[in-house]
Amino acid sequence: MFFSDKHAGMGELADTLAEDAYTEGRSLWRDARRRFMGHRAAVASLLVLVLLLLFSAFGQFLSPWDNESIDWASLPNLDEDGVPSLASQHYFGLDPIGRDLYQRTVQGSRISLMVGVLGALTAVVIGTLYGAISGYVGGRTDAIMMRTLEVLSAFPFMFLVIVLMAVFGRNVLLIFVAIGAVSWLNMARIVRGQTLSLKRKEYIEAAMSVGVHPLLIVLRHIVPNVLGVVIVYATLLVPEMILFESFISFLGLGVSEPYTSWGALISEGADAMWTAPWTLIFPMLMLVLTLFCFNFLGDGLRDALDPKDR
Amino acid sequence: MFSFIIRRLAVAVPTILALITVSFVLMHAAPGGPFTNERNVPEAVMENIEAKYNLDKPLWQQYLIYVGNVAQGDLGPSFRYKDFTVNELIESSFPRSAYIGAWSFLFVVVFGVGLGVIAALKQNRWPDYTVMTAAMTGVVFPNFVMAPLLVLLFAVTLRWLPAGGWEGGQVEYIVLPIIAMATSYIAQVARITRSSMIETLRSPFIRTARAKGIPRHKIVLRHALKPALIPVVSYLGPAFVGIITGSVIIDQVFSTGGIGQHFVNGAINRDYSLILGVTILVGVLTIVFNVAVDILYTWLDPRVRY
Amino acid sequence: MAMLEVSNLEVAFDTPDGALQAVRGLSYQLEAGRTLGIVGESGAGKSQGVFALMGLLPDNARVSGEVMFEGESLLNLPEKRMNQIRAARIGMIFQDPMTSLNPFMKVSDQLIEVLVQHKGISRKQALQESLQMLDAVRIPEARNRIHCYPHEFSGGMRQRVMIAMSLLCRPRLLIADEPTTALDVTVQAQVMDLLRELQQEFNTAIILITHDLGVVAGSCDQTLVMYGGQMMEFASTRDLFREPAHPYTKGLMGAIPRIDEQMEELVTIPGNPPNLMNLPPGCPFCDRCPVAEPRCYHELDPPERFGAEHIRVCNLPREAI
Repeated sequence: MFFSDKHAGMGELADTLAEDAYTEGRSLWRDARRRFMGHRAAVASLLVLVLLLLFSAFGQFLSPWDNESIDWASLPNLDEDGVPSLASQHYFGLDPIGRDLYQRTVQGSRISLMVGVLGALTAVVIGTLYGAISGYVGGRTDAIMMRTLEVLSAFPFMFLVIVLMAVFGRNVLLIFVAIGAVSWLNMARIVRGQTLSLKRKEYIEAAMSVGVHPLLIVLRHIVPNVLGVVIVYATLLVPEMILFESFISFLGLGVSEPYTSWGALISEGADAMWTAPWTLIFPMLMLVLTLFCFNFLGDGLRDALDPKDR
Repeated sequence: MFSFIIRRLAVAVPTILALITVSFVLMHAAPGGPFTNERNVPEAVMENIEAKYNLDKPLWQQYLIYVGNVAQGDLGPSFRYKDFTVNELIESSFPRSAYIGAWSFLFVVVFGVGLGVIAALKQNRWPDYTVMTAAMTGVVFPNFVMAPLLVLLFAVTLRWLPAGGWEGGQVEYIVLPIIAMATSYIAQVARITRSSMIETLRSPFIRTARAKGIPRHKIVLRHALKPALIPVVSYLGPAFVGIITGSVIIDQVFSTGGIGQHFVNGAINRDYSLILGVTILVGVLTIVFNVAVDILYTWLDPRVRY
Repeated sequence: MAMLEVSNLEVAFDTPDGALQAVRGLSYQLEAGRTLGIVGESGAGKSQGVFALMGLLPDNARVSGEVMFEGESLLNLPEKRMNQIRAARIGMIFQDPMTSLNPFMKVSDQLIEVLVQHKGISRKQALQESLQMLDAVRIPEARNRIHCYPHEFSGGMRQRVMIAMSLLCRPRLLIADEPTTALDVTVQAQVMDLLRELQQEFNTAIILITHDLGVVAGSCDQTLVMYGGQMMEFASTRDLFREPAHPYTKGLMGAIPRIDEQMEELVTIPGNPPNLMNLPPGCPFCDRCPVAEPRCYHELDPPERFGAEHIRVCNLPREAI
């Protein structure tokens, strides 16, 4: 969004250019890749995200400590002995009860990223199918499905999820379910819109006219064609899901010990920041960096795959 | 217009009912009641308590009683704060959250739209780059990051402002909560406004207005602002929900004594009636706000008719 | 001196992939009260050429050359001065009245603002004048409908509103950019008739941009044929039709279906318009020209004048085409 608007005021020429591109017969995906590679911030973000992923997967091998045991030697004087230092190999310092914050952060990153990606995946699967079916079948079914969506969207979901957490206790699996359940609403709406416009395209009409089974049309023609938009929104959903989980964990209603997540770490850090500000800073940086990268990546992908710039 | 509002509110009733039902079912599917952790309570006393809160009745009766009470605006007694009703707790704490929330919302609209318009009009020049870099950064600072960060900066390190409290809502007590709450939404609204304004300024009807010799500032105000605001208005609903939800964090971090604090405590202490009541209140507010947004649409876009 | 003199007009757009030459070396004159047709396929630079006169091009456009309108140079005028000329002295009608009228404003407000801006009269007075103009473009029940929004009008009526709006200040020149393209065929004729009548009534010069030679034949005194951003031929409409002197003009004429001739299929000019990003050094039409010679790909002779103000840009002698 930020960087794409440089091609402003080209409306009148768009047709001519599109025609040229067509005559030269460039492949759509190659074109998309070229546009994406031209988006330097997005490429850089992708690299950073890969590093973050590696960090969360293998980061624990870089430190001699682990994420559960307490450094008793440093515990009595956390304000001074607990500061981040390379010498003590507590790279991120100690957390308020004397555990190694680096290892805790690695572990928390794993949970946060997992929640984000799995949440987005759930959204993609449920949302795409729901939206594609609603848009494709149309008529009464569409009306009912969209009405349902509207009712669901009006729910203050965060409150319900908090209630859920309060009732059933804190449980990572439950967080996944809760997040997956709320995440697909927008996705369904976007895919439905795309499907509606696709439905009027000739090749879909052709498939319908020769009696291809509707489900097959949805799976073979609609779904692949909305893929670009779905990828873009899935990318933007990941940070949203991470935020959602962190929000709950920040309130102390999310993941439970010994597991942690960025939200839980930030919450602990917020309580300890008067004496140990690093406990707040490190997890916060991780979260902010991730959100930042996902946003840039989403923008880059949007420019590449959905150049109409909604 | 009047009948439209009535119709919209009528549709809202089943939504609220669904909300009540879902939360009610969730709550009662819980393993163990609200009083299970209270040890050493004689059997008879326990029965008394349960009778008092209707917990001895079959579930469907409890449900009907509850719905009936809610319809009359009675959210019942708090299970935890035994001397208070939920209504009393809400009455004492909600105004604080609403006060912070309303200011935040106002900031979001005014600064978000203002900055977005400035960026769009100065596209690809330094004001645009400044605003958009700030917005890109602001978006990734959600309220639960902003809140402790601001406290760390302005209360712990600089000692300019108090770290929390209410004190009748004096300015120095609500500045940080409002900034923490509004930042990411201001950034988001600025981004939406900017791209929608740029889009609008490229429309053929803006070219017509230019061909008519209308000065630029009049084109922006008279021709472009309304259409450019439509995507912003669609975002107001989610922003409103976000701010209400954010109250939970803000009230907690800044100890404002707002409703969010009660809600979190209620959730941790299994104070069913309290969290159910807050959830319903939030649901109703959201629905009313969405109706207001729909009305705003009809005013903005003459093609929308109901 | 002619009312409008355009000489050597060049329009280029800076794009992420390089410069795009939309108009090259365009020159023509227009006398007061006359009609000039500019014809060409889409992408020929017709619209960009006139948008440049009005300063309506997007920010990434670069314009050079000279445009004299009633003795005043239009290019590089300060925005404030340009705004005094727009609508007051040069009016403009756009292709699609659906998108060119502001869908968010009442028609009355869109009309009134022109008069208030240029004549400084009160809104009340402006409303009266607007009503008269709507009557002049024959919108029935104008008094009731003026407070409607554009979407409440039909396509033809919307274009009439557009025309009324462009004529409010009685401009000396009216630029009509494909005014009938987005309309139904029957409505097209009505709108063209209306334009002709209004031209006589207000003594307005018109630049009519179209891709339809048929429209030109019926309504223009002079015709300019454009291709690939360049002028190919310029003549009085009579001469052009009687004696087309350019292969492209001939091709366009052949592409007009005629009722009185039996045809096996519609005649088209084979090939596509050139890529404006990367124009060949010679004649832009060479790829599709049926009589092109090898040297047409490398060079293009300067404009050739002959007869009564007939201009052609072609390497081949007139007899050869």
